[in-house]
Amino acid sequence: MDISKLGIFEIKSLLLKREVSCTELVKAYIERAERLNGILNCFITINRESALIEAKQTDEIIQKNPDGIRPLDGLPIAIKDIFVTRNIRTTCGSKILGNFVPPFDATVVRRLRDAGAIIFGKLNMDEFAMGSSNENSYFGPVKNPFDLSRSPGGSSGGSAAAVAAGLTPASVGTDTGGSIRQPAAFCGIVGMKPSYGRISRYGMIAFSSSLDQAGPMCRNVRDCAILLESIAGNDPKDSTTMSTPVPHYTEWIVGDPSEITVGILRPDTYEGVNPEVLSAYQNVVNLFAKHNIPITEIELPHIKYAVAVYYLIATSEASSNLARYDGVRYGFRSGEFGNLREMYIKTRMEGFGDEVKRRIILGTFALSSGYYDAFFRKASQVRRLIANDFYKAFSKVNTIIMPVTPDVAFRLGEKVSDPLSMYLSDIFTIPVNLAGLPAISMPAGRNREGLPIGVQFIGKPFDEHTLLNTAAFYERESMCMNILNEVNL
Amino acid sequence: MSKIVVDDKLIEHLLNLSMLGIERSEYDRFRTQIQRILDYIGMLDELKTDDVSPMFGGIECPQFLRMDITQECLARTSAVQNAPSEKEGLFEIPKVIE
Repeated sequence: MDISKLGIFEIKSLLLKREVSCTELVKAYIERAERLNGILNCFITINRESALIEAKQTDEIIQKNPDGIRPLDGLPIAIKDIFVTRNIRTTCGSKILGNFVPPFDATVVRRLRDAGAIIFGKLNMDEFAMGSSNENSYFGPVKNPFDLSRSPGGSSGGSAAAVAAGLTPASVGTDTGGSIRQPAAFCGIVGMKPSYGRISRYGMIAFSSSLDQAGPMCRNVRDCAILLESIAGNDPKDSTTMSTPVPHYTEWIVGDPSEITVGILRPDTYEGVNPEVLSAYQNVVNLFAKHNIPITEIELPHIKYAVAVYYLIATSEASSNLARYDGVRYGFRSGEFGNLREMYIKTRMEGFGDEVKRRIILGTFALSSGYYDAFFRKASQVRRLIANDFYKAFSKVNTIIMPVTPDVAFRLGEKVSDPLSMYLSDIFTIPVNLAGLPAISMPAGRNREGLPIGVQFIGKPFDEHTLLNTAAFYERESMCMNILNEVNL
Repeated sequence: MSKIVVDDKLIEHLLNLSMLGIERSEYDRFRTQIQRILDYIGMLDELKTDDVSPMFGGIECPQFLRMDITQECLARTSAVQNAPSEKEGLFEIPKVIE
């Protein structure tokens, strides 16, 4: 059986019709992952033994109780290696957690398991989710399935490449400044960053606590809705999760155009954007216009400051969050030191990669005495202005359409020595995180070289259901959604 | 904010605060990269923000703490299972008392 083009919904149907067993599916995905990992480097850990035991148990459950099947029963899934998984190594793409085997599950993992999913692998990522190309992983870069010389994006690059290449039917990634949407765009899949507070961050290794958010990465909109429904909701273990009820997202993927009102930015906002990306974006806007969906020009005057704001806030929070890696309670410890202080310093010096060090240094600067007001506080004030721009725009429309990235997937090594240039590639994704909004990245075509281009729909806080309706409408009407059929590995 | 000049002294101060180390041969590269990023961040000077209240969180809704009820917590053996050095169920570190 060719599993490479299956999504969540197809797998559920196959299992329900008894056309395949859960054990057969898990075996097939593990074999495919093992066979192609040498080419794509998507997986950091493949969890063969316990996944097969769980699959056998699931087969027995389905056998005994075919009507009582849970939403994800028997679904093999690989997730970003940022979620802690009980008894399965969790590295966060770092040497400092290279041998860390957590004694508990993240809430996202718990919910996936409770819904019946079987976690068979942990996917590659930029170290501590800091990066836009996956080149910052201690375990080596992931390759883009559309062109092996190019980056799959980051930081959830392993997840995006694995979904695109059919190494997992779906995945869960995280998005702090675009880390779900940008790799989704580079790999031609659907990636959703929900509102801040929609999904628990408990057990999701922290990078920037006021920006981090988990979300589904899938082959289509329906799978996104299924996965989001399973993992969203209030969690007593994360006080920033909202008690707002979780809608039945799968009931919202009807694609009703009468529910959609679109906002777009003035064309001069996109000066310097790759013309092919711009043309794909324009085609998407035209498609909405063709269906008489109201389109209004909106203004987000402060988004040009978003990258500057982000690299103060995210690095400040990171410098604090990463203070816990000291070689005492878990993780790597340097072998050579004279005293405790030297042990801390050498452990962190040898355990962290360059990008992580750079961000800790920047964040320490922004929070340090004499600079706090001029940098961290100032950035937090501008963050308010950016959020207010969005709130104002959302008084007129319920969906904002924007490109995901200024360019298509870059060549591996192209930006690695120029961090600022890498940071600027996130200019259209970062504002969404600063304002805590939901957004979904959708395929919008390919450039002349065959590389995927993405477009994002941005919604109001906790209005994921409207966003899914918009995405479902686009998915039905667009000619761009068959892009993954071109991946043949 | 006035222009910040990133020199070796500032890098050393920040490394000291963050308990971090980089090789001497890497100072130039780190200094140049951080200078370039801070120069870019200087664009925030264009904005007057005296009357703007800072936004510190991802959302600004009331957050509720769970009830203060004792719950089962991680067993000691689990808590120390990943320790690089462990002795009798405790984390072991180099001696700190002279």
